[in-house]
Amino acid sequence: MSEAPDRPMLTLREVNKAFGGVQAVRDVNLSIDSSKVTALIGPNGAGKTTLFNVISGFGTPYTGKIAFGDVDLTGWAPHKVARAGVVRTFQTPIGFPSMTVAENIAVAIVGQGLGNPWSPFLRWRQDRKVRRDAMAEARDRLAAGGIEGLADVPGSELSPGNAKLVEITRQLALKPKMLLLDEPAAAMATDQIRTLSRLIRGIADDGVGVLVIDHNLGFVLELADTVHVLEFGAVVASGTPEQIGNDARVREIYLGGTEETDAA
Amino acid sequence: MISMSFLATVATLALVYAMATQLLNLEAGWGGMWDLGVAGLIAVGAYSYVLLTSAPDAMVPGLGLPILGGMIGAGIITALVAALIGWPALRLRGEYFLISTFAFAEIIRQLIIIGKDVTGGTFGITFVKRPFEQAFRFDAYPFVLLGITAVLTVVVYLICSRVAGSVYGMTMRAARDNEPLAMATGTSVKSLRMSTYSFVGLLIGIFVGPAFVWFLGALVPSTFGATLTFTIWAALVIGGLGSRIGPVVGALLLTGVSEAVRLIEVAPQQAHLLSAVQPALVGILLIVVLRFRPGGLFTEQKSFARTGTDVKGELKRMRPVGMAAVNGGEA
Amino acid sequence: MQNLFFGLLTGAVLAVATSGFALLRNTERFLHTAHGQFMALGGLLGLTLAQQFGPWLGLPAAVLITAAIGVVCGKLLFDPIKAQGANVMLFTSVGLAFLTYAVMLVVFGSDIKVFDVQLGSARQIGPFMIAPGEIVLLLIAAAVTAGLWLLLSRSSVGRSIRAVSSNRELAQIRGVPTNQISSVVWALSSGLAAIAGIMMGILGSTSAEAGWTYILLVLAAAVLGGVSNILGVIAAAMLLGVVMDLSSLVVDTAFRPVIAFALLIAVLVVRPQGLFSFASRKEAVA
Repeated sequence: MSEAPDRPMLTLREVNKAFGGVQAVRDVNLSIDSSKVTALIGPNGAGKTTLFNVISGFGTPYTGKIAFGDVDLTGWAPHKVARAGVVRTFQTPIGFPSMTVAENIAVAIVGQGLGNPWSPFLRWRQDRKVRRDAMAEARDRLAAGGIEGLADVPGSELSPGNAKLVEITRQLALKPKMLLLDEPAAAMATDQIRTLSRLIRGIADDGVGVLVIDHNLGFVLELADTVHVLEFGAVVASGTPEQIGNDARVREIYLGGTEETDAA
Repeated sequence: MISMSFLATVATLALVYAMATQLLNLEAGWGGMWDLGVAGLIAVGAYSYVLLTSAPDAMVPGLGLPILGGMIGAGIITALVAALIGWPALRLRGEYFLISTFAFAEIIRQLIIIGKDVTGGTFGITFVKRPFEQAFRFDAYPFVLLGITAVLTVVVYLICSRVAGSVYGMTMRAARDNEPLAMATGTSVKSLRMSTYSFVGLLIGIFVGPAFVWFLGALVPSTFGATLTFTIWAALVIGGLGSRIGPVVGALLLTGVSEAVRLIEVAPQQAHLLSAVQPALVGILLIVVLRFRPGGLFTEQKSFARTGTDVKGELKRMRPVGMAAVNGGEA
Repeated sequence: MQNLFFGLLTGAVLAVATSGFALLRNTERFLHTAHGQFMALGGLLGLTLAQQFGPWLGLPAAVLITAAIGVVCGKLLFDPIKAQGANVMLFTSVGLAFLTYAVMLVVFGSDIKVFDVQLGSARQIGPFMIAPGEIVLLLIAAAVTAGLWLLLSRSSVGRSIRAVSSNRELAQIRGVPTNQISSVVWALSSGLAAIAGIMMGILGSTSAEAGWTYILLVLAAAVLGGVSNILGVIAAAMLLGVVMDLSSLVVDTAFRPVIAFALLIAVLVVRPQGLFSFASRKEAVA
């Protein structure tokens, strides 16, 4: 994917979402550039995960539009959003617990063409080849991430930190153009977080736009190009990490909360 | 003295169950769709087959198609019925899907009774023609039927094995394990499940329905009630949900043990006790296996990966359709 | 009109059975497939004991015995596997259903039995032709349901049951004797099943075979009513009873179960969480 010009790739316009009587997302306007890391911070209940869900198709906004380039994604089902190149990770990386890590990654690689009952019989050879190639590519990707030792471990037996890494590796295997990371640094040790930061920066440098939610302020402020602060569903501040880090109002929002301001 | 003929008949029934159990495993074990309506689909397959192949001048008239045509026709009809059921039912999750399939099976059974002009109602259809029946001596035929059923069972086994090793099988298991994640990796879980359900319907119509009809020799609606569904589920749970050989072993074991009971000689007054032994055995086996080996006799892990680890408790971890929920709470 | 009354009656009896089912589902968290068999067991026991010792002694005895059997099953079969989850418990219940069916076949035989309780001759009351016995049954069903409701909402046992229903672990921490409550719920559920089974038997007939039909109706009412909402399943059961009996005005009585299940499916398509459930649509939809 070539370096995209400086025009916003993923745009949210006037997005509103309410459920259970709570206005979870309120008139949000955002742009997420490709090749850049954008961060979304805010206290618990601020609407960050709901926004993720709405973008990735796990919820329809009450009003508003979500566009990727000039394609209107609003209200699309999750699988269509993923196929359009907008890929998300999940906060709790359960993955596919009964399958091995290599199989987990392979699921993302195989694509949709053979996922029907007829293909195993009508396209026998192609099916076998795709599966073999996907498993091989899965192992390559694991090796590139330094975790090839996990390849044959069942998903249910991974430590939380490793599960996170597998989650990111798997979603990356979808070759996304826009990557939404849901609390990638949670439950990770300091050195793992450093590796994670480098990984995410590398992804952005490859041309992918990244949107990150995390509670670890140190991690976020060090990594992001742009930061948006969400409170009660609305964007209350936007800017560079320096601006946000020095913003008095932001500090007030976080005072009294259980946020860590240093990495781990 | 046990007659070989009797053994052949028992083995034939066991194999029919083995096919049904494997197909249930495909949709429930690998696909995560806990279908309590298999008896309904088998009924559709059986009745379709008979009505397609029965002679136009028989007591319950049919289209007079040849055997192979009847099998394929039954397959297509059952696939269509499965699609019809799946369309509303697959929108539901967990217990609701379970119960709606149960309801559909009962509706099918009632419709068969109601449509008595076509299906023979509660009296059913007797004198079903079996393949090659005329060509063999009466006492040799049970072995012929056993052979035919065995071939069909092997075919079903090969089909299920192929599915297990395919991209489709992998995608199915992913959708079963974590539905939102599967969607987030680009899989349309809804269409995957619909096509799986219809596929299972197709195979039930081609293989299980006709084979069951040939074994029974006659069709009555009461055969296709809740007990049939639960017996197949019992065979699956005992043999091991999610494994390839488990369903076969479970079905053979369950049928073998149930039928072996018939060999016990009892006085006529106690004959009615014998009819209670089969359900008692199914019940006890289920309860005991679930208590001491809830994963069943064979596990899924050994069927797919060559890992050293043995993931126990598949049954415990598996959830019916769509239970994994996206955590929308931590906003 | 006549059918309306009979529908209310059937619905009321079904409500008694289904509330027991829902109660168990709420605290023990699984679908007790053998519930239908317990109903049949209650009916058959009731009939036999009533023949031996007269209805005033025999019927309550049957209810108590079935309740006791339920408690024993709960302790022996289900408590040890609770950690294994709802699926394992569901299939153990299936196993228990087969076993209970077998026991009933052995003890009571397979024929259909009729209670020789006289309901009295039908009399004209308003627009209905009702037998006094039918009114008594309706009143009993109403009383039992009201009693259950009072128990759940007013008594301390009921409070404990509701605490365990909503969050077992929390209730345990708060000092609720969860094991004892489980036994109470098993007793209540099985007792209610027996009462319903006896009433079904009086209204029509009872047999070892009947259990397999009963569970279908109970499941239908439970799902229609939203499974975990006791008032909801009661209302749903009444609705099913009325719809089934009213439909026999328009179509043949053979169609009755089809109508009931068709209604169930139609409702589920439009409102997947059941008619009266508090669960959000999201939880019910795949």
